[in-house]
Amino acid sequence: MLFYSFFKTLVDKEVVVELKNDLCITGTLHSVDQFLNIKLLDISVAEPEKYPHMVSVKTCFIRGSVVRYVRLNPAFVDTELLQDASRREANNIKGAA
Amino acid sequence: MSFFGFDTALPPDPSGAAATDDQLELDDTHNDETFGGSIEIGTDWEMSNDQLAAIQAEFMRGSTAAPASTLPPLASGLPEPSHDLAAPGESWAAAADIDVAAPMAQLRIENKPPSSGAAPLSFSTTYGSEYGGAAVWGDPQLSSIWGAPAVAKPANKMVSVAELEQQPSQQPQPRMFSLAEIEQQQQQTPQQQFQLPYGAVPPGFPVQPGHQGLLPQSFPGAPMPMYGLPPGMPLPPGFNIMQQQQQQQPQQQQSTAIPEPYAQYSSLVASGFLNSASFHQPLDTNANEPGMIRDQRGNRRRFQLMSRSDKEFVIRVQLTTLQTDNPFVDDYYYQSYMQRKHHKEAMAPRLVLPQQSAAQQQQRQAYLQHLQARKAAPVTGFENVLGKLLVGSIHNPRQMISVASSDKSGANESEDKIVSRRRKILRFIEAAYQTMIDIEDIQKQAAACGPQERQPFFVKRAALVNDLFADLALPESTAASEDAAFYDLLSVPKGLKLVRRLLPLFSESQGFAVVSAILHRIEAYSAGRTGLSGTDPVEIHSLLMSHVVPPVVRVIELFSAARVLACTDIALSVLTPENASTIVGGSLGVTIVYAFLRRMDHLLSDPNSTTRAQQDKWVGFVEKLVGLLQGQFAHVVSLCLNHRSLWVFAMLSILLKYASASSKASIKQELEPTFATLPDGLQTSPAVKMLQQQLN
Repeated sequence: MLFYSFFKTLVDKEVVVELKNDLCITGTLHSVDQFLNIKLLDISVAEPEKYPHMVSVKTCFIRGSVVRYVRLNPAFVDTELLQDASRREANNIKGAA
Repeated sequence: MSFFGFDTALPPDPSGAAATDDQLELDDTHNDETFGGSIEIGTDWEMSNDQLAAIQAEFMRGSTAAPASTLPPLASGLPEPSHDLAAPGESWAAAADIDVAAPMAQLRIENKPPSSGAAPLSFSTTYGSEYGGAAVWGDPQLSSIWGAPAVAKPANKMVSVAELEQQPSQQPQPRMFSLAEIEQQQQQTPQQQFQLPYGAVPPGFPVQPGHQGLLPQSFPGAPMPMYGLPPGMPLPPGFNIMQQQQQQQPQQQQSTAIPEPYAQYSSLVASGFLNSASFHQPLDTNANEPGMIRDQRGNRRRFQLMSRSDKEFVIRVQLTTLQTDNPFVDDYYYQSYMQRKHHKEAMAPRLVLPQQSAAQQQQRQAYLQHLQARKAAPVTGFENVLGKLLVGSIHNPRQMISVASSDKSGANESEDKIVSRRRKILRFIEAAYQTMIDIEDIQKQAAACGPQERQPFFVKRAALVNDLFADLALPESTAASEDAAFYDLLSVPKGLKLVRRLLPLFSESQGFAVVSAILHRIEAYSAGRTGLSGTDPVEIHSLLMSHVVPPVVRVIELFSAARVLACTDIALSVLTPENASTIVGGSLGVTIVYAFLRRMDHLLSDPNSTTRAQQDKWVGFVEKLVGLLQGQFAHVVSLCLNHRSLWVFAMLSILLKYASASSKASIKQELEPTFATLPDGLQTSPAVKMLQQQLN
């Protein structure tokens, strides 16, 4: 749930989603769910000449399992808080185990 | 065989009873068009029709032999087509005195009895008699809207399918029916209504074994438009071929076994769902809501799509996985992030600060580029880690570090020492963070309790803080200790961030210990020589200024006079005439010295806060400091202006406040040329003006 919690803080921020098929989509993060499926608004593709079919697409829903990277502005991330959240998540998993 | 590919010479249903449910189920399973099955004819449809046309032609050549033998075997029990219509060799059309080539307009119902005495145009007199006996064309005595399925016998000339397609107008067409006939049909049962449409043989329609050439009964729920009829148009009740066959041979239809390949739908058939009225009958027909029906649950559905309740059910199932009793545990990052964000927005200063100069912005940009260039360095590859590197688990990323470091063991002992030392420091930092998380949880629990119940939490918290402080291993005496773990903490970026979060937890005495430890090594920190080997000194210094100095200043602001004087003793032990200007001129030194001066100045403003001895001691410290910086004040000011630290003027003004007259004169003599070279903006600043006033 850590990544879901993290991505919720990035709603309405611009991100770049790189898929496993090397497609890079830039857009505003509209929503995310527990499976890390992402919905982007006002998208643009990094290489439109390579993906001409994406030129007219404005909104897309990306299945979480096909995402390779999500690039975002470091200013949107509270690194210390993220580290604390990771430690808590690790403690919870240890406690559950 | 008839033109339509099936044998219409079937006896009527004598009882006129509706088909039983079992019979209907069996009929349903045979309707591959409804199920969309992958049933194929096996042969080309046109080829089959060509074969049928050949057989028909052969039959019409006037063979005296029973033409039935030439026909393909029909379903057992079906009556043989009657052959008494025409004399051998005589065209049936002539016998019936019917011009089959006449256009459709002429082939309407006419009140004209057959001219000849020949039997009416029908393959089966019995069938025709049941329904008004005659052909569609020219029979005025029809009692049903469909009458006998008129099959136009072809003329002597054989025609193929292609020729038939080229002459569509000459082909027999379904007749038009009156409203009364339609209403009469609609009054019949649904099973009788939804039967095979007249004259429609879709291409690719399967032919069941034993029913070659026959058109099986359609599925009751088959959409009517598929067959070319307008929606709701009923079918002739007597056109239920399969129903009639089953009635003729009831023993053969007793078995309700579903033949292949329809067996996959046995569950649907067995449940009776497919034959239920609710499935087929559009009960909520509305002109504004086409396709809207009511399903078994009573929900309204459009074209059998998901209803709102179905969608809500699916969404509810997904959302239940996100339910949590403690969002602060399960959703920690989001909750804390939003909490801090709202807190920052609430505490945001209303004052509009002046914009930085172009030089300051340029300096900041240069520093950011330096950081980005450093972070853009490629990740070191992991050599010789085949089989040792496990990345399957996201919960154990440290294994990568272990493999990388162990691989380099033996290559360079000094590097191994540094790596092991760094790992030890990081391990200590992680343990400290774990303790801090526990402390924060205790604080939250204490905040949630009432005032009387918080004491145990405070005790617990104090114990954890003391353990944390003890782990830092700060030097107890004023003497510096190079082996203190605290100095290792300040040598890595993560440790500096940890100190920033630790200092607010400590008490005054613990904070004093931390400040003392920093003062002992202020020379090294000012020179940027405190980072661990391999770390960026610029980054370490920057983090020190941004993460450590502000909480240290806040700690100093809470010091008592005794604590301040104790720190001044440490400072005097560290400062020498050689390094004083460098230390005091550095950003760290000037900030900390100014913090001490301001705190003591504040304490001295209240006569009750300090004793005479403390006041004298303080004056002595100021004199010694001025003596250490004698002749270097201009250098100190220029150093401070280089790193944009304007605290130097405030520091000098406080020094002048407690300095002697002679010290003031020397300082004035050194700084006057400096004031002349200051930028215009600084010359008019309040701090510089106040300093000039003090000097004058």
